[in-house]
Amino acid sequence: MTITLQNISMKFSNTTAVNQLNVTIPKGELVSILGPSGCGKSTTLFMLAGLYEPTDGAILFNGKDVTKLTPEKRGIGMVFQNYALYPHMTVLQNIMFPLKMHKVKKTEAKAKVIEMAKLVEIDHLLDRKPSMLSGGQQQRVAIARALVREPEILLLDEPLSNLDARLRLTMREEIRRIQQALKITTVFVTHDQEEALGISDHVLLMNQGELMQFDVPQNLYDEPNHQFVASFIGSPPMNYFEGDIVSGVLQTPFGYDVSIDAPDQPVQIAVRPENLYLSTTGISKEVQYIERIGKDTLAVIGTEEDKIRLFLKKEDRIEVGQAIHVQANQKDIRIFQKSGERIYLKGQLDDETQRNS
Amino acid sequence: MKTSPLSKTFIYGLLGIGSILMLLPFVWMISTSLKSGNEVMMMPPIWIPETFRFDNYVEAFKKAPFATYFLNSVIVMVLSTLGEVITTILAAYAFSKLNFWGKDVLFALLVGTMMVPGEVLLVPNFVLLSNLGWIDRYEALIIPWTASIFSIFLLRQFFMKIPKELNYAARVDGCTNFRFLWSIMIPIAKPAIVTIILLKAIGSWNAFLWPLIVTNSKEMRTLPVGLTSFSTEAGTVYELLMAASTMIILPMIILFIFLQKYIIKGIAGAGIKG
Amino acid sequence: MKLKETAKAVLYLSPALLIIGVFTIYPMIKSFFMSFYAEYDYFNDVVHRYGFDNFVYLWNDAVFHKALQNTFIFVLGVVPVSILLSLWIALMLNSITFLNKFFRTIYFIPFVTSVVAVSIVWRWIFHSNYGIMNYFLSWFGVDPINWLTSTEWAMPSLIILSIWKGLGYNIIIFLAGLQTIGDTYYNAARIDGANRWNRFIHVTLPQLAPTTFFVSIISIIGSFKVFDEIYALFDGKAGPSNSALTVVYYVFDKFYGEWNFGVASAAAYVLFAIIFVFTLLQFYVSKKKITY
Repeated sequence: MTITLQNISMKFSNTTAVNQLNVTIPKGELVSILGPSGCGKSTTLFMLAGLYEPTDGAILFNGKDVTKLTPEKRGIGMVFQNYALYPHMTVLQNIMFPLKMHKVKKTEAKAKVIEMAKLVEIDHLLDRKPSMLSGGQQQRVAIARALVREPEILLLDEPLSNLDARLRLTMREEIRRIQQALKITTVFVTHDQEEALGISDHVLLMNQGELMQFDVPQNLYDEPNHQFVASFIGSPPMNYFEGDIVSGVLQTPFGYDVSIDAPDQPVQIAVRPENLYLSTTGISKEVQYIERIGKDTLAVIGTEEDKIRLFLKKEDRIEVGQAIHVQANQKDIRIFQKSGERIYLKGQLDDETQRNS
Repeated sequence: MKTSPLSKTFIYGLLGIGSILMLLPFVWMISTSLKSGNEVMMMPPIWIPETFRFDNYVEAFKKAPFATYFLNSVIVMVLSTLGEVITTILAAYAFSKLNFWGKDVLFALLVGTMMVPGEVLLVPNFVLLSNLGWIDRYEALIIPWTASIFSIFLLRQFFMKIPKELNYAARVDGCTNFRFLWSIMIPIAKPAIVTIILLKAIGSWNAFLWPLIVTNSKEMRTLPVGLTSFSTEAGTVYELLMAASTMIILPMIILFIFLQKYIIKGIAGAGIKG
Repeated sequence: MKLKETAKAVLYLSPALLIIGVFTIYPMIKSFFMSFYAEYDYFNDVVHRYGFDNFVYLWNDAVFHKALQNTFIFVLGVVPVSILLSLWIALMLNSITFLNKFFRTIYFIPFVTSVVAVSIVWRWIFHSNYGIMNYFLSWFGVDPINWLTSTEWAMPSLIILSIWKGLGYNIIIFLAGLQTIGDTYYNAARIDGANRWNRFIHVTLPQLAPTTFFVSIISIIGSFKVFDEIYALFDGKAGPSNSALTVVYYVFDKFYGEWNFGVASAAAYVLFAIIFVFTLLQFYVSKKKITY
């Protein structure tokens, strides 16, 4: 089912949680809503569920306006952060509850529950109470309960945040597997970019109630359309350098100029740590320290206030205290106005439009 | 903390003596209730009567309509408890899960009235009930006691601990408000509800001043009121008085021994809140 | 949204609010006005004049003074002893594990029993000739005491009965309070080299202060409202020559004995005022949270 949000806003007494959101979520995709805490991502999900009524705008499912519809009439399933399993019911009763509320015949309902339990691999736990289950198992029960009425949309609110690191990885793959098995349109709220970029078809990145970028994960990383996106995505973070546009020419600190179609102004030049390399030209800095992160070696250069991070190549040999030069290729630099908006170099824009079409 | 065996023995000894003092009145009551008239007046007292005269209980039932009193007490206890549980659950739900105008003000007002001692309400309530024509009827014994601010407060605190996501999940699953209350909240809050029921039942069974004032005829008296009037009539026939007292006291002791976990939890919980 | 919820809330609240409104809130206000009825015709329910006459009457009434005085004596007799005893027993219970629950049950039993019934049992215990109280005292060479029929012993009898009845409740609250004191404090105190007595003075007692305060206020308020015990112990009288007359008994007597609704209401409001002071005190202190 295609989900369309038209100018959706949500105001709570005097704060605006979501502001003028416009986005279309394609049918059958797994889309995550990503952003720092308090950015309005859960509010957006709750509006999709019908638990909050937007103060402005419309929500369309397959072109049909559902803005005023109550949750149970929307054909959705939902999984909550704390799973919200009914503590006094067994796993079987929990999963069966939505069917019971919709007056499905008992034998039919039971068969459906067992089918769902098999899908999420908890069919051996049906007689247990939620308190006797591990976090991961509770999560599976919650998913089964959300799916048992065969909804066309599955909504997940921070479903992995209560799990430990190892389990999180497993469950994330499980969610992807189940989603693909059912081809169900799934919206997934998370504050963890690794999670979002890892399993989503599209990511909806929000900040302070505004949509920042709605894109495929790779573009979010490679072609951020705003400095917020560039900073939020990626770890270790983006490096920033000062630059200037003077009469159609961008003067970079790397020693080369780039012709650019933009008015004169000071700008931020952003480069990912893996796109900086040692050279004999470019910016000159002193090496502060070197650390190993898994298979990679990260060098931190510059001063405490003005750190620059880059990944070293295997053959690079540098020492702490040594003065070195770093360089970045023209294709790897991203330019942002001081206000945060992206300025595209010639050719970059074409690339992006091609990729999106 | 480690305690030496000597002081342990000392503690057990003291607690043991204390327990005997706590229980002695009940032992003395039951012992007297089974004695003959002569045995009652013996000095030094005997603790175990020659023969257990259960006839004393039959005699007490003959001298005063204790069967009627007993029935009245049961009717009043059951109906007022039932009423209070229903009103409490509904109100506690509204105060914990609904978001309505004037909620905080109304709740503060109700909690504030908890400070007012019941004695203040005695006179106007009596006037009100006599105007309604309810004096000496079950209505007067039951209806004013079918709601309790304290119980609403207690249950609301419990309901507040139930996460709101459960409410959301239930709405997505297709629950109405009432269905959510009935199928989810009440089963989860069962321990708290049992506590409320038990405290209410004990309170109702033992209530005295109110039933004393609103009943005139023997037919409407509850056990405690019946007992005091019997004691005025029977005067010094202590074996019968003790038999009647046993009838009132024993059911609550038995109830308490079997369900004490709920009662003690309720009282301790209210205390910790302060 | 909020309008809809308000409509729903009205539905859920109306049964409780109806009962509470009619039988608590309305009488509360009505009683306030009643205390100012100066001339009142009960049969026709007509008030001829409002005024402070009832309060003036109380101010001058020696019987009411007696009732106030007795009530204060009762509170002073019951509360400190009951608190010390229950704290002591709770501490002992807290230091044992075997039979802990058993003892706790026994101490609590009097609390769940009918005040009227146990008072009649105690009437028998206090019996001058055949009661076990005098019998036990005779072991120590004490001459028989006229517990319930002499003016000087009526109040002590009432106090003994009340302490026995209420002890279990206080013990339960103290035990709950003791459970909230973490072991870390004791361990820290032990490492600091505090002995048993020092640990009690410097750890247990301060940590238990909020509980003790709560128990005190609850006991004080409860004791101010004593009635059932008196009625049953002295067979529908307030003790020999009013020696056990308390404020609530006075209210009951004015209302049910003399049908003087105005004075009864005024006396009830005086009681309310006294209790209110203690409630405010509790509110104020628990807001401030006694912590050390």
